[in-house]
Amino acid sequence: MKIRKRSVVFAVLILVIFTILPLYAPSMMPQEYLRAFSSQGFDLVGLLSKVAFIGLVMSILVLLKGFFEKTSAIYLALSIVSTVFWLLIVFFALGVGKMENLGLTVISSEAGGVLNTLIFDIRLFAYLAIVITGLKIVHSVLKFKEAKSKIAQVQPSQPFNIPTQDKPT
Amino acid sequence: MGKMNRIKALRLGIIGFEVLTIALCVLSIYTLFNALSTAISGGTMNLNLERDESTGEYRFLLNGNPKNTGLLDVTLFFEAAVLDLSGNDIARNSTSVHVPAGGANQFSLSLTIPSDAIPGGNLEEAEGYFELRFAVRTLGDLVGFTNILKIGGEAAP
Repeated sequence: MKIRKRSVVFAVLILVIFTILPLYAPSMMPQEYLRAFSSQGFDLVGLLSKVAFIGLVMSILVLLKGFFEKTSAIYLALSIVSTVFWLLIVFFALGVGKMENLGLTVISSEAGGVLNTLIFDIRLFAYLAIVITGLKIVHSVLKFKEAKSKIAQVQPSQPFNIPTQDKPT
Repeated sequence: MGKMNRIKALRLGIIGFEVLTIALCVLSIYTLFNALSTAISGGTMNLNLERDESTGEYRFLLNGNPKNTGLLDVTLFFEAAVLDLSGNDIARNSTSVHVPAGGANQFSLSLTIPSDAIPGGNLEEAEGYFELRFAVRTLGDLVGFTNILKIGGEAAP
């Protein structure tokens, strides 16, 4: 089974940047930083673990795509799945680790009788990301159809490419 | 236009859309943080609490001349409220001000706390909450940041 070298390179890069680095980052960070984050109710280690998981899934998807031809229906399905997965990553980033927030992040803390609530509203970019994902899926489908039609033009009717011999006259 | 060209055009359109979205995201977040750091700092805000001796009312006054050194226009929203212990409004008022990129604009917000809402006529003896809401929005008010401070007031022993 052949695999495209480009897919392997991308998969390794994604694995290093999004999985290995986030897993090692907490051990390289000063402990007081981690304590400061957790005292504010922000679970940095949990967030980095989620990023590592996302990186792992993403690199597997990229690697899998490398095994299939662009004319394959599995390639199209993997393209759509990885596009939707990128959308989830965008939601994850915009929601500071909470995909379900869709870019509306609410952080509350209470100290000395004072309740402090911070609200970040960047939902516009979540909606724009949905539109971009839709367009990317349409593009993947059109590219797949294009690749299929090219194959059909090269091999119009014969199921096997058997060379024909001229009859002797 | 051939099918191949349409696919290429769509691809280019998607890339352009992505670049535009990322640029707007970076620009608006930069503007929000810039507005937060410059608009409400450097003595641009003035907060006063005074008592009208004739009526016994307290008057909270917030005014300022916030600057916007960001690259996009921003709208600043201020709201002050006094609530009783059940969370019901005793007094509430709000104002908003549009500050163009590279400019400044004045605003003023006053809140009158009626004397009958203050037991004994002394604010220090009153029980309830003071709520201050500050919001900054940019990109046609589509992107924003809000900070709500709710301070609980208890009667002095």
